Amino acid sequence: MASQKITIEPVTRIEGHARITLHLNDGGEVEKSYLHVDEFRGLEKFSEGRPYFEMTQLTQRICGICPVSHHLASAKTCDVIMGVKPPRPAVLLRELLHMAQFVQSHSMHFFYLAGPDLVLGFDADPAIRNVFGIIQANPQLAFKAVGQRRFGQQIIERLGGKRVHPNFAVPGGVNAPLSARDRDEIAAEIEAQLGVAMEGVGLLADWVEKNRDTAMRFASFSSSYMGLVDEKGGLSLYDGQIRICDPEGKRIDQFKAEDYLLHVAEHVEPWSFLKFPYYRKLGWPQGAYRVGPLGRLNVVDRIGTALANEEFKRFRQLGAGRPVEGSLFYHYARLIELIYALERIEQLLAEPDILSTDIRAYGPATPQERGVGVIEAPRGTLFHDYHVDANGLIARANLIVATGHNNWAMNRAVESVAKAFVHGPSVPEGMLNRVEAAVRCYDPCFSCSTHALGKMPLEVVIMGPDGVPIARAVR
Amino acid sequence: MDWSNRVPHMLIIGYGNPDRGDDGAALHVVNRLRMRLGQPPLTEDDGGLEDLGRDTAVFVPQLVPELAVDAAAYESIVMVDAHVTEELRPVVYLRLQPEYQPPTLSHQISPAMFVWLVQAAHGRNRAAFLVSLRGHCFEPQRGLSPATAALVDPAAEKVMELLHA
Repeated sequence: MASQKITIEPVTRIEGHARITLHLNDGGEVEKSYLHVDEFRGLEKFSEGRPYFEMTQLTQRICGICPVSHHLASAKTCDVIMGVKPPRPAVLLRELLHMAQFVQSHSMHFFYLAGPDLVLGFDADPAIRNVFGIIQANPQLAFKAVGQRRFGQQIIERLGGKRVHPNFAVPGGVNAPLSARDRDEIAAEIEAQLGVAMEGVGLLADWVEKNRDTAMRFASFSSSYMGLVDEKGGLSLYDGQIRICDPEGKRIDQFKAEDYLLHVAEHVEPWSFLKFPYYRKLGWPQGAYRVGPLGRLNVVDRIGTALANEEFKRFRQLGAGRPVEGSLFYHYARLIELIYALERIEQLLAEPDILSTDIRAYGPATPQERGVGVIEAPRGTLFHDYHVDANGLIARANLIVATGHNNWAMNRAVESVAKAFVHGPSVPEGMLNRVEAAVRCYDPCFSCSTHALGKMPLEVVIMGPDGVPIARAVR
Repeated sequence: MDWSNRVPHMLIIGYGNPDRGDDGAALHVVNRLRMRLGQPPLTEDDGGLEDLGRDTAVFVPQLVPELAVDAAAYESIVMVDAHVTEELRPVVYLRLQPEYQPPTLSHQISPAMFVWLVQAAHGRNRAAFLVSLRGHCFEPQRGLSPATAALVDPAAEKVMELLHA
């Protein structure tokens, strides 16, 4: 029986808020742990009755970090409802926007959120264990990182008018072409930004070299993995089929986005708003899987750009023929994807069609009854699924976001780290930060993932040694 | 505007949330300034960051580290905000010194911390000022309260004085 409860609230340096509860047994060891998600946004519900073509703008308001992912997943869903295929130049421009978001989001996560643990140490003073501490410790690197995030944001602004919540993708394509001047100005910065990304890889590699045991064991556990792949089994972030691999790395399924409900189900726990998606054929919880950078790089066969593919080969060697399981290697996978995104931007800008003004297709007035769109958001696979009525108004919407897919894994990571590092009721702050760091590996965005109705855990109960509640807080 | 051969002089950064009533007062001040500087007004979808000139007024939701990189190119910076403190004058003018004030969130930086970031980005201090006008209503609504709307012109005038100093 759990005899004592430690609550860490809020988890710092993740987007949104969460609450972790650790239940200690009589021996002071962690018996159970829960990562609670208490936020509720209800976006699926309040989008009902809205015209489907508004969803590209409405859904991206879920998040200020990865609005582009919702924007594009929604546009792809609306393409289906509209019954059109966007012209190739529009697809290229959408992918360019998408890659820009990967640059700004992945760079921010590594250098702003996760980097402080690695550069300054898990046990550094919390007051400096942040991006501002990195600026003090290594201003040259820090401002390169700040500049890299700005680079990604500026591409988004060039295309969509704003750095956050752009207005660009529309059902059937995009609403503006790319100018030659913008293309050239973006291209001129790629090489320097690749250098910054490689510095990040070097920083991480150096840390892993010095902390190999921690890196390999930290929140390391077996799971299945999910991610989009292209027709050759390569990394694909904008489009493709969904591949699922088992804990041994063996491909167990591959399916089209519109069939996702045949393969993915959602489990609900009473202590979290965030649902727990799982692979239906394996059932709950055996079918739990991981998505995001680690998930993607554990399911793909290759990466279609040179530098990223070379780094990918080194990444896969870590697993020695099996998937890479350690949660800290999410950061490595994230940096490899950052390199890929920059190289992919270079590839896209070299496409002659990228400056074309043939950027939009128009469809019949009568909408399809249902559309499903999928995209790889920086944090993982993102599904948008809309049902519309005869007038094109949303009748029902279902969004499954990356943080939801990783819900089981984040809880598993917290438990793994808590059992290894937390002993007894008096825990040094640095130890608590290790628990938080386990969550941060998954780069969760709880404000994104709590749009679905659940049960609101508004109570905090403090349990005494005899298992009797000694304090209760209601919020 | 052709300013390619001239050193960027002053960046005016208005910040706030126009969806929270007077919290968006800086947008009104910025647009007053842009009119006087011969620049088109900003809309909610255009903060002006893509068209930085020698003297430019922009509007952003928050002060963020990336903005410090833009600001570091300028000789001086003026931040425009709204305040709630009744004890302060309706239009407050302060000269800012860089101060390391680590925030709780990366997108909630104080003006003094922002100046510290600008200094860290560029290696030397910039003249920095804060002009703040008193807000009266910060509820979720569009538009300014009459009392705060009356302060927009005086606040813009104060910035113009700094611009021409």
